[in-house]
Amino acid sequence: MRPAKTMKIELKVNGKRERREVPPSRTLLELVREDLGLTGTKAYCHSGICGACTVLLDGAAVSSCSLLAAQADGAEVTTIEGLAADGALHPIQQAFIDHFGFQCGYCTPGMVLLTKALLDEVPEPTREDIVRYMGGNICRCTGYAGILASVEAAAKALSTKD
Amino acid sequence: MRPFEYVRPTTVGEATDFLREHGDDALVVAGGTAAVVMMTLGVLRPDYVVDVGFIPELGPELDGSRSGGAGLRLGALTTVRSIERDPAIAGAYGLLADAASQVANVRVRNRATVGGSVCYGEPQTDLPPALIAMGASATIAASTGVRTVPLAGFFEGPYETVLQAGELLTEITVPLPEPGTFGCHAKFTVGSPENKPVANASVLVRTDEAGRCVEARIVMGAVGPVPVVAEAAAALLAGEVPDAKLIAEVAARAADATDPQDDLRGPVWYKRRIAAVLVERALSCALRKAGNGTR
Ligand SMILES: Cc1cc2nc3c(=O)[nH]c(=O)nc-3n(C[C@H](O)[C@H](O)[C@H](O)COP(=O)(O)OP(=O)(O)OC[C@H]3O[C@@H](n4cnc5c(N)ncnc54)[C@H](O)[C@@H]3O)c2cc1C
Ligand code: FES
Ligand code: FES
Repeated sequence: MRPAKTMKIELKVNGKRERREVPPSRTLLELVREDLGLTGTKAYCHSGICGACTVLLDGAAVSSCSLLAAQADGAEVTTIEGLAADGALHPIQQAFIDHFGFQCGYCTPGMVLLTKALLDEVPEPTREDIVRYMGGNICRCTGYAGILASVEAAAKALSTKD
Repeated sequence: MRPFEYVRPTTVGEATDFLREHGDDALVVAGGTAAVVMMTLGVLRPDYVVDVGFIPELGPELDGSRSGGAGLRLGALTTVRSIERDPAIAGAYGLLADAASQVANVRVRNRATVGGSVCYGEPQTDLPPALIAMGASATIAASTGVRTVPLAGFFEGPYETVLQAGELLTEITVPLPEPGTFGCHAKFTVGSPENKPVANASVLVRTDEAGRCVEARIVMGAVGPVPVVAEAAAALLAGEVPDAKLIAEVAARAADATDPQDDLRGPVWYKRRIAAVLVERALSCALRKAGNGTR
């Protein structure tokens, strides 16, 4: 076991296999934004607080700023670019548009992915479930009412879909 | 982030062998929620990062029997989120699940590990008071052997623990509580939930059929350099059927045992007041559960 100055890693990002050689100090956030050019993932606090950098790692919401890319080796990553299919918005994205779930949009990729993680886990969340789960991501614009309405609408849209 | 060299051991032996050589210049990274951020901020500047996240031995189910008769064995990599959600933990070990559910936000809980929560040694952390109240121990491996340390003696000061360079925490064990034991965790945070709490409190009680307290443990976090165990306060409950007056007395006595500091989360007198309120809440909650017989 020798220490490495660069790491060859392989992960699946939005369904596509990606192989990269990175310095081990590269965060998953940097890999996604700079190496893969997926700039929908945002950065703000770099400390796990705000949630702008939220991605799904094997389906679970995580802060990509607080994780080395090497730690995600072998995992499946979903970023906001991975939700729309065949040019059609994901129902969660549509719900955020229909229910004024964003203003400036900076928190929105994280909010949408957090919603996806919530609804995958709890398809019919109560208002309290939603507040508790979504409360971890910060929005400076909306006052959250539009976001809560969007999540509720998305839950409804997804449950009537299947 | 300052460049470093990276190693990814796949056994505890590989990790401790590397740490024996390079322990002073190496940083162990588990979930990374604290370690990666500290490197990004430049607070930690290791030459080597030892990523222990790929060591199966440290995984959540060390021997496939989480909640056997002897108690609960949590591999160091068990996430805070799985402690929150595991049905086997929610039962007899409900206090742990309650504390885990109150950590930060779901993104942090998905990554943060029980090993990291303990080894970080941050006084504001939620799991240590709960683990100490439940009588948990840490198993620590080095290239020279393995030792076991009760968690009550694990913390030495803010960000200081008994862990030496070269050592790796491999497992947390929690003895199975006696039947009739119930616990609750309470915390108070100013601002959003991921801010560090002003104080937190874990309370565990066991009552007999008549509702008399047979055993009680009270441990508070964020109100001292290490978790504060309030033994004298807990002793007031012995043999009693606690009423509101006694609960308030116990809470006040527990707050006397704290040793908080003035900081941006409040002055000393305020933190003491909050600690008393939290002990009162957690104790009332635990007694309510004991009364209902629901964990
Ligand atoms: C925004 C935010 C909010 C938070 N809020 C809370 C909160 O409300 N309550 C709470 O309890 N905690 C909170 N935390 C702290 C969180 O608990 C820690 O970040 C987390 O527990 C660390 O776990 P980790 O697995 O990510 O450890 P890492 O970040 O990987 O490591 C943390 C430290 O422990 C050492 N370490 C880790 N594992 C081992 C091991 N097996 N053996 C030896 N050393 C080891 C590392 O070397 C490092 O020094 C918060 C963190 C963040 C980022
Ligand atoms: S940028 Fe990652 S949580 Fe804020
Ligand atoms: S829409 Fe602007 S931060 Fe949320």
